[in-house]
Amino acid sequence: MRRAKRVVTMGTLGLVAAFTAMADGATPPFNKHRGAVAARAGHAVVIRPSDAWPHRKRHHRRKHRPHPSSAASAAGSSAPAPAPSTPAPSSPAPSAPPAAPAPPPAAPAPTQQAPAVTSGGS
Amino acid sequence: LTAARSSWRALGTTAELLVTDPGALVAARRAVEAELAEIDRACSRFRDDSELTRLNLAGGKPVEVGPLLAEAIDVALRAARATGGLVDPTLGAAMDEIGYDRDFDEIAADGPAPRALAAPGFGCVRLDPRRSTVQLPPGVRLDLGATAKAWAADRAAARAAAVTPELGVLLSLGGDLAMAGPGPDAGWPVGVADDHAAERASATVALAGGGLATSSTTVRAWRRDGRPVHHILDPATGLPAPVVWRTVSVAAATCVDANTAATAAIVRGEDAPEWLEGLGLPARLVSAGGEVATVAAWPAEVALA
Repeated sequence: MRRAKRVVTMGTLGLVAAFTAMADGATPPFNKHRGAVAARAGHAVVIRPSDAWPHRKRHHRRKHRPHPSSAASAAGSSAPAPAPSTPAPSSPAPSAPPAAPAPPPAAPAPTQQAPAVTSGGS
Repeated sequence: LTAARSSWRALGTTAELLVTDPGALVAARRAVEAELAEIDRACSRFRDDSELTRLNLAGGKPVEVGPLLAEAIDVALRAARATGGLVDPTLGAAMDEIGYDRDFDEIAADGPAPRALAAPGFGCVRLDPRRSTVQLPPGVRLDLGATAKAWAADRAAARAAAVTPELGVLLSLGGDLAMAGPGPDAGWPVGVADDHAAERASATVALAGGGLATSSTTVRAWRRDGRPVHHILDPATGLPAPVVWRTVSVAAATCVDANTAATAAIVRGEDAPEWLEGLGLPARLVSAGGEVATVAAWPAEVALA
């Protein structure tokens, strides 16, 4: 029993010594960061970072701006609709740029004709 | 002007259809009627069986909606964003509070003073186009009146113009005008007035396409606690906007764009002309006292004989 304990203790000490040597001796100080390549006994050993660590690979978030045509198809329609004069972002999208009403294709012109219809309150 | 005409009652107002080919009038009217019936079934606040009513009564749960209502809500949210929230679809409860909870013809002439119910804000509307669902917080009700009629005019005009090639269409839904297809060479002659049913227009202009809409505080007006009430609400208060302008007419690329800008101008008040000018939207504004201001490319007015 005592012999077995001694073997386990020696083995543990040996492992600790080996890892300490690897970290402090074999890896140059400036390489002691995640993902560094450490040279040891002629082999290249990649020290892999943990995916769980907060320093994840950064994904630059892009604002989701659906293409007007895809937005229209998402909304769906059974009848022909006029082309939207403004993009149609999904909702809610507080970061989407405001789409101002667009001017008419041609400005209203003066006329002497009698009106065909009247625009007014209803 | 050579055009065939048809008019009838629709969406609680008057529909007037003009087409450049008289032979296409019947088919064009059928197309408009079909479109309006579909939109009414989806978007009416006054029908117990509409999709919008079902959504407004959902008590905060997500509701699956059809493509028409999804698009109508998307259009309303777009208008809200474009106007910084001055045209807000979450005014349903405030509309009910001022008495506009039924077709206009059935509104009581007078009643108790309304409470101020500020709009919850369009940001609370969750529209998921992928799942075709809409979710409103409990108690929030949508009113699409500021955009849906004009949007319906755009859609119905386009659908009518598609019945035959090269057909020019002018459609008025209660004074919200949408044009589609090639119009007359000299443009569609269109009058503007406080009331679309007025016998005499205050001014007339010619339009080649797009839309023209007029928002007015003098039409769809009634009384509460003895005081005049109109249907254009300021989302900040939930009460009728102060009457700086009694009528604002705007021409834009689409009828819904025009109506969005005209309604926002009523709510904006004093600085509306500068705002419209900055957007490049031709517009005609009539103050509460009757003075006329025109902005952007709105032409000098020609008085009719």
